[in-house]
Amino acid sequence: MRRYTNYILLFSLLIYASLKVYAEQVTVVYPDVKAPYDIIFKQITLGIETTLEGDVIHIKLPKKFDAKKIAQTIVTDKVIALGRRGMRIAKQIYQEKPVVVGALPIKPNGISGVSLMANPTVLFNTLHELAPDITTITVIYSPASAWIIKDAQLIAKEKGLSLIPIAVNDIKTAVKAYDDIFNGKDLTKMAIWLPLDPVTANEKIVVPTILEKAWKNKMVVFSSKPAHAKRGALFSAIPDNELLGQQLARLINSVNYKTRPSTVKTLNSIKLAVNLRTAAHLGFDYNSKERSNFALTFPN
Amino acid sequence: MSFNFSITNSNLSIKSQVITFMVISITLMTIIISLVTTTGVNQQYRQLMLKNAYQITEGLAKQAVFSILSGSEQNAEEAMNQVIGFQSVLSAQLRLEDQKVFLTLGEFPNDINNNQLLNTTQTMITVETPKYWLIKTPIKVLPDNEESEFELELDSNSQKEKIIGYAEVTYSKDYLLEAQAQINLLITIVGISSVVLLGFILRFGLLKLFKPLGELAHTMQKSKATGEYVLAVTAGAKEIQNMASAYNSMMKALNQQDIDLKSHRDQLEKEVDSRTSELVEARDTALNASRHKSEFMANMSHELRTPIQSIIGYGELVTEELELEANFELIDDMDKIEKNAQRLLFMINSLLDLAKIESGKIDINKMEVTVNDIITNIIDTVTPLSKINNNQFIIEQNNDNTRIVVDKEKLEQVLLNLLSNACKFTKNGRVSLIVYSDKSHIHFEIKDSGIGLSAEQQNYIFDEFRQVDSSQARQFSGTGLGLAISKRFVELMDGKINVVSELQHGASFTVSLPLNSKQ
Repeated sequence: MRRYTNYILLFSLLIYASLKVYAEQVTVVYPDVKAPYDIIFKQITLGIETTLEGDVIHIKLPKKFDAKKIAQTIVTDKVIALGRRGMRIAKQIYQEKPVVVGALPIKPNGISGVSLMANPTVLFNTLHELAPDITTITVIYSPASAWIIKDAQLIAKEKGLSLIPIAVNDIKTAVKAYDDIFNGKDLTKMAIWLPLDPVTANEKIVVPTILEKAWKNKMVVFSSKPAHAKRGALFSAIPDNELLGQQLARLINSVNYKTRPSTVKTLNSIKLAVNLRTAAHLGFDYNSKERSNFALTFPN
Repeated sequence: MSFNFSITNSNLSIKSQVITFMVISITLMTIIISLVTTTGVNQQYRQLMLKNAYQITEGLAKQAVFSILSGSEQNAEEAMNQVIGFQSVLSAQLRLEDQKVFLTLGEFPNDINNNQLLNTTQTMITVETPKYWLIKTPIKVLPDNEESEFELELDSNSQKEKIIGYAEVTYSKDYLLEAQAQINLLITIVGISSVVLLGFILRFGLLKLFKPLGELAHTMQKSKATGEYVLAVTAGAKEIQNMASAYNSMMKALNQQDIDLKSHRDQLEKEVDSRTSELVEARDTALNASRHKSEFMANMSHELRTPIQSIIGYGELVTEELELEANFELIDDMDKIEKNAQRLLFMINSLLDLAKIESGKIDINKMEVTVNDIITNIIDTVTPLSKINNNQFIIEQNNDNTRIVVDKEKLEQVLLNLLSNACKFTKNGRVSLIVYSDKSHIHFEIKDSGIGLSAEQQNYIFDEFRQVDSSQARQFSGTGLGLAISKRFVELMDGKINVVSELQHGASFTVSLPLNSKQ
């Protein structure tokens, strides 16, 4: 009996100790933006708070600030940095304490975090649901988004899809590559994936033309960037901010800043934005059940 | 200056001058406003069209990025066709970064120079001709650094703006020129219409304004022409009414003055008539009295002369008897009687002559004589007289045989009278008779070195019964009729007598008679 009592006591102590650790204070640094843009960070921090047991200290970063000074004011051992301003703080402290970065299209570069780059699995599943005839996916990428391509190829293969990755270094070669795609013969079963890449998914030059040409050629374009669905892509991934917060909270507890390489994960929790006009143009008609899965549809 | 002269020409009425001035001013003002407006509108229109051309070119540049990057002309054709579709776009051209032509649509003008090869970093006009603009703008690859309020993007500062080519558009000015011509025409028409309309309005207004002034001037002119005191109508502007009122007041005052003058004139005329009739009456009375006096004097002289001549005659008989008896004491007395009787007779004869002259009953008996004849008689008479006061009698004459037609007796009487006066008023001096002639007259100058005459005395010495003064009258005997009779005689012979003298420096009497006197 005494023996069982000791086990129970030990188990309780372990649970307490684990709870104690789990309930450790975390600082969240994120940009202080005005409404309605602040809703994103509110949702992320809510997700963080609901996952973490301990107190969460909020530090809102103004437009101009001294990253070093603010970094010195952080007293907690763990920090979650959000957005571009948060990244500046993370750069100051990521070698001293566990830091994860979110709400940025980051790539593995020493700092752990959850990138806004949507998880290819989710994207390809969605593609299969919304455009079942597509067998080939072409993605043109620059070094900024190269880190995900390898995984994406494997995932595509698993899904029975053929992912054709084309690596480019600049916008000129990117444009030529896109032009070559559109000059191809059979485009009906091919889709173009626009990654979160500032070169190959240039908002001013590439995206408008790609969407226009795709419309003309009745090609499927899907994107990792939320706004592209509104502009004419068949669908795009929208981060589920609260789930993102939860993912970040879980990640911060697993990050060991002393180990290398860092851990950068793709965004698992996404919602869908679907352009129904593009879908109709492409000959797709979704039933109400399918539509109920869409977080956003365009035109509104 | 010529402008001032022309609009202030005194030959023009104030109405015409004001209308001219106003029309010229309005015309100038309208021209200036039209020019400014035309320039402003044309400039603005030009800027508008240029802005449009810039936008078209920049739009082409944006649309051409993909095609330049891809090197595919097909990608740019649609954008080029859209640009060419604009009304004023003549041609469009895309160039690569090295100025090599990538794609051309439409015909580029041949006269475009090498300015288009400039590496411009902003939209600009590289060539401008009267017909078109050549707009050039760089085709840029812009970094994808879209700043979002979400702050969810990574920094993209590593990407830089890069020029990958150039878009060129030739933009025709035809529409601009046509529009500018229409604007110019419209403004010109509006300007001319405004000038004409304003001119008519001004003319109407000013004519109405100056009408009372014109009527006032017309009234004044009429008053001047007719001499009537015409009153003006008080109308029009305040100043013109004041002028009309002042003019009317002046006319009323002049009219009143005229009435007063006429009244005075009538009164004066009545007085003059009254005085004239009185004077006529007085004159007639005086003439009658003078005639009666002359008649009386002639009668009396005649009546007086008869007994005196009897006295003289009987005196001479008594003297002869006394001479025979050698009673010389009485002879002297008788001489005095005779002398005084002769003197009295002379005085009576003088009075008789004067009376005859005044009554017009004296006759002139002209005859042809020589100067010598006259002088000879005078010498005999005057020589003894000159010696009384120890005077030297001198005759100067160079034309003894000059023949003249005169009343010899009366001329001799005149000369003797003058010479006897000279002898009487000169003591221990000289008495001269100087005879000379010119083409028309013969002159007898009696000159003495006696007491002379003052200027005042010279004024009345030819009047009847006037002597120089009483004291002298007592010193120098005489009737005071000699010079008056002499003057009348000379005048009866169509001659003149005058005197030149100075007190204490002698006197000079000159008798001038015409040489060709009618008989």
